[in-house]
Amino acid sequence: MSPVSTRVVRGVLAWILVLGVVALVVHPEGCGQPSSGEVNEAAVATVAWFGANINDDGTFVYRYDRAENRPLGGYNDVRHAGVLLSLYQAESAGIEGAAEIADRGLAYVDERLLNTPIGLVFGRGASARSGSVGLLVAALDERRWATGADDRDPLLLALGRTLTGVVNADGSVGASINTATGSTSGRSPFFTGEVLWALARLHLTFPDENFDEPALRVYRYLIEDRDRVESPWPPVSDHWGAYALETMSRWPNADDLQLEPDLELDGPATRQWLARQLGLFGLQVRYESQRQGGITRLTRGTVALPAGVGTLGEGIGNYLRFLDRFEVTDIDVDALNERTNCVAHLLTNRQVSAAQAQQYAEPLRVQGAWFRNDITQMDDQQHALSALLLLEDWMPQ
Amino acid sequence: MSSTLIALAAVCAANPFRVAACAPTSTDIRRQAVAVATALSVAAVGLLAVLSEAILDWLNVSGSSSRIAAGAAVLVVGTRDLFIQPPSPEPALQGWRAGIVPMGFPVILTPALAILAISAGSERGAGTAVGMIGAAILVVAVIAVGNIRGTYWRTATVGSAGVVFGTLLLLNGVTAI
Repeated sequence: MSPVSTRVVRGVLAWILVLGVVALVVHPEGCGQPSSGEVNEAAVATVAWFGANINDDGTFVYRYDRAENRPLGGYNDVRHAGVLLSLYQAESAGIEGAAEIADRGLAYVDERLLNTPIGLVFGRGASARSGSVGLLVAALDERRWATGADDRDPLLLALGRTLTGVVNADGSVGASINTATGSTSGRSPFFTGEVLWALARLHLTFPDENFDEPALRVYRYLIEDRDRVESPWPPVSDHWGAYALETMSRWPNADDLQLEPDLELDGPATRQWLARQLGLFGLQVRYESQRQGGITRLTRGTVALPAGVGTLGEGIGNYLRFLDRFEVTDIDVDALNERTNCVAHLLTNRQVSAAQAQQYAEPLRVQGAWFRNDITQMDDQQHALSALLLLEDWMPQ
Repeated sequence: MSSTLIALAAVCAANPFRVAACAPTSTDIRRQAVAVATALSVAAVGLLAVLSEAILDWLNVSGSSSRIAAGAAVLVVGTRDLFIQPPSPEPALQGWRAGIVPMGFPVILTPALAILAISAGSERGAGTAVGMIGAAILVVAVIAVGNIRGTYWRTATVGSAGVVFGTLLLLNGVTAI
């Protein structure tokens, strides 16, 4: 081989080496674009899973191991409220029977409402979580919109007043409520958004009850201070915050919240928050879509919890609606559309079909659900269902 | 990904002092060789930029992730320039053909420059990509034509800039949607 040829070969080898490093950093993304019909079918199958997995006391099968065919026990009030919410969302979206299942789940709630010095809470024991109150408010409010029933309005207003009490002067949200003293303590990466969303919904439903004042305090804290003060690591992709912003964008005075110009829904601080959040959601969708089994198990790990993938869809779905009302010019809409399609694909593609479920001992525990390492948890279905309902309208017919 | 970042990363990916180090010593032949290397590199970059969408679709890589790929490649090439001596003019093809080997390939047309062209073409359009990267290649050509020696310290300085701009590009891809 001539010296020049040797130089060329060495150059080619250098290329291969660099491309090898790059291939470790960036993998192909397994994305697609399901139709709105496919997304709807997946949502209907999820509602059916809840219908098949609700117990007589209003609880749902919490964790289930399909390989061993056994429930794994445990329960969580925040997630119970979240499941009810997703079911009422399904009813709102036109999936018949979803509210009926959720109403059966209210039996569990009614047994666990507790009067405390700060107000009515949903929880057990020495402490209740503000997140469970927030999500219960969202669920009951969604029920009101979905079914037109206002029989739970007194409860809704009582829980709303409790939420007003967990909001501190600076807009931060107490995570834990001492049921004996009514004092609050601690922070949660998700409860801030949950409480804000609940208050924002209450202001839409009961505009004369002044829920907007605490809501705006939490909103300011979320946009300006939360990430700096609470320093969550890794940074939180806050799907509950996305729900809250979407709801606030439907307030009658959404164009003028009477805040500093920076904090208006089309203000620079909100745009910056939005860009950061969409970046987090987008990155996670891209990363998750690179998990395609085989060698990617070594480089990307096993797939994320289905609930986690669902939250990505919830975040993106809500921001799509928000951006429909408040155009933000510096958002990469093409990339956002790609991520929207991709997360819808991940959810529909990973759901267990009726045919796949037949190979298990109890197909109804499996069909329409999502599993990781043979285990599903009810909030996997909750978040996936909410995401599918949000994404459905953005998929092609 | 801003046009400035594309251009700066492209200069680092093609490291002008490495090109200068391997340029023929004769002034006339050097000019001819640099012209050939420049034309070939711009043509290759243009082709990659035009085909960028098709290439990324074929690879199933999103535009945002292609920025990460470009950043990683610029980072690797920059790191190499910190630790490896600049290339010598020999062995090379004779006369102006030295613009093909080694100046065009493998010195100017690094994998970093190629991936950058694909990423920029997909994200900013082929015209902008060729404009920015072509301008960077012209800067490289001007330095290579001038009688500027491609010393280790000069290549390493550009290499360290490559580490910085590669990292910025990579972070730009990470924080993109």
